[in-house]
Amino acid sequence: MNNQIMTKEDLMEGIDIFPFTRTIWHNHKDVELWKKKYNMACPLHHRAEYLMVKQGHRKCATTHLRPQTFEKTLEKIYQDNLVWLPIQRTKSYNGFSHKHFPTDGNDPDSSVYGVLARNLEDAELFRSSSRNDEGTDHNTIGDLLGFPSCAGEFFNDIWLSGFFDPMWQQAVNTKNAELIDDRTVKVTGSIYNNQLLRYVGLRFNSHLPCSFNCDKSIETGKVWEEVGESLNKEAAGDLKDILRLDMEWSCLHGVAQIQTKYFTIITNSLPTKDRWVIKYEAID
Amino acid sequence: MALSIKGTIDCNLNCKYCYEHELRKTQNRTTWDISKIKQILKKLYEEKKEAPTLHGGEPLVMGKKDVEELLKFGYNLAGRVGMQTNGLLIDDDYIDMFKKYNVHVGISIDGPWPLNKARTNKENTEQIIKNIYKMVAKDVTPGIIVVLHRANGLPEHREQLKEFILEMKSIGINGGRLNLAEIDREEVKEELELSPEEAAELYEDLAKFVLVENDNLRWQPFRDVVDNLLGLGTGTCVFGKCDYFQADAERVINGDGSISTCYKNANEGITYEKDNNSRKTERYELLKSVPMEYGGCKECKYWPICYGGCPAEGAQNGIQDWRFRSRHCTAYRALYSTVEKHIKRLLPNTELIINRNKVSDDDYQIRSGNSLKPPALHKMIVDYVRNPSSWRGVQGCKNKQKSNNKKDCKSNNGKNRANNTKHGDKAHGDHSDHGDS
Repeated sequence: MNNQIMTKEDLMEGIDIFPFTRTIWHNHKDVELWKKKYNMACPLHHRAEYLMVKQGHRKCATTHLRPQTFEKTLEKIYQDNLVWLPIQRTKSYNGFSHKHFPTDGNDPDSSVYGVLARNLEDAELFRSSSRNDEGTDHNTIGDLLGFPSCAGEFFNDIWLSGFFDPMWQQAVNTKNAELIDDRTVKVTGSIYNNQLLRYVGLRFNSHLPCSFNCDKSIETGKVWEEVGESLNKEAAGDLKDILRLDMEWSCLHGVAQIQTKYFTIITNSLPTKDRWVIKYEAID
Repeated sequence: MALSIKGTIDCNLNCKYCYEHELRKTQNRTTWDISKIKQILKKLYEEKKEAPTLHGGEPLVMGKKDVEELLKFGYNLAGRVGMQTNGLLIDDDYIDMFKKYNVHVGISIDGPWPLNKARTNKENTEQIIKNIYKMVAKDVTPGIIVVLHRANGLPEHREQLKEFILEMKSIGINGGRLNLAEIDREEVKEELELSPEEAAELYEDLAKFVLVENDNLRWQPFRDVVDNLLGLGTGTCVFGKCDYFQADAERVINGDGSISTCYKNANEGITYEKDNNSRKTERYELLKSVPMEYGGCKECKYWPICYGGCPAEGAQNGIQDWRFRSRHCTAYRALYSTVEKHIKRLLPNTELIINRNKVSDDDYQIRSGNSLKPPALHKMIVDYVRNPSSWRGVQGCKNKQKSNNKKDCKSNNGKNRANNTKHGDKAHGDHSDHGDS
């Protein structure tokens, strides 16, 4: 397609909305059914992250250790023969964040961001790649997290350029994408690559695919699906149902809004000067 | 804050700009369940003790039996009930109900024919006005809501619009609302939407008409704008902080007993469930940081008394979105500016809220009694200054803002005034070379 490029000129400086997510339910006769699906599906990805490492589908995962569940989580990691290394203490936040907010041990409202791995060697490599004096080694981190190489390239190209919520870029990279106007794109894409609801945990893949129909990401997404099904088949089915919904993502002034038939999500995003819109239709 | 009952969204008129058009396409709201409505009404009333208002759609299409049942139930709960109606179906039976159940009725009409043509035809318009007269004759005085658009708000309509306002005043209806239309349907925008400049001219002119040129007119938002500038708080939700999805200003009971928020955001055919736990400040975090050229409010001096207007009015360059400031920004700024000038001309020593270096933005909404301290008129009050005046330069008390020092200031007042005023307490009226004594 004729890509409409989002540039830094399209963003405003000095606007940084603190992390948040809100889900607003619509008045709809079927809303209780979808609330149930939503509540089942939301925690699934987080639980699958752990299992993906434990079952050997990926070498590492990132996870936060929270003071409230610290001893329980460490005990489980030990019993599962996994390791966890701390990387950074970060301020707590509600909802979804695109970055960490460094703080220190005196901050009671904080958690510790770290890496989960099956062995110390991988964990050390991840940690050193995160703390590299020459900057973060995103390629190594991407490999350890099991990301397809194209996703790594996409991340290096787009995310590192300051587009920390690159949904638009993912959409216009998609083969069948149809530009409706300068800042509205219609796209049909795989549910496995749909990251438009990841702000509340509704996703299969943990990485940002380079497009909505990237085959490599679809492959990894199916692995995530299997792991999710092994945890809770009904919840995995609910997640698929939700990701199959038609949805519209829009971003304006630092807030993204994702609207489906049954609910709307709003969250912090890119501080765009204008409104950018993705109209998404799903394919399995 | 309002508690509305929208038993039906059906309507016997077809106002071109109605924000419920899309909703009528997407939701079947032609039936209602009186017992469920009553059950929820009782629950919500107990929470905040707000008198309910029958709204719609057109509430009177529910029929006399159901309307009376709801009015009676609301009256037994709250001692009074509100109703917003287009007035066409009002007859003697309804007027008797209004009296019996202490109903405060608001009539939606955009003026006499042809000013009301975006709502309905000539015959209906005349009937509605007859019904207003009939109500007044039976001691039921309604308020009026006029929606302003290109069919009644252009300069060529002005004389008739003002005559209508004065005609209503002559029968005892002193006020109501003069609201700019929020037109979301593309097919009627060109026909009915006032340009920002037209809306600004209209609001400036009506502000002068209501506030300056006539006595005892209480039309909004003009009266509220005065209060806002003086830091007294506002009764108009449009100028307060309001969450697009949760609209604190209104709780709505739908015909099926479900609860939603204000319908002004229903232009996409969606209404939202009420959820009191949601965070509600995103719009206000972003708008105050976004430059005006991109649809924000950064550095707008009216921010603390406007907050970008109603989120459902949010739009920029024809794109509707709550993340933009109100599409009526030009008109609101013109209105505030006009009223500001008039207040300052009459009372130059007034310290308006926009003249303060810092106004707390932390409160959800600036409210009467806890916002402007010292108050806007403090330079005219002996508690605060030695030489109070509505216009002369004033000599302040050093510690005038501390309550304990107010006392010191007051107790010394007579003495200080005598000592510090060259010509005594009274300014001379025979010459003008020392007006700032």
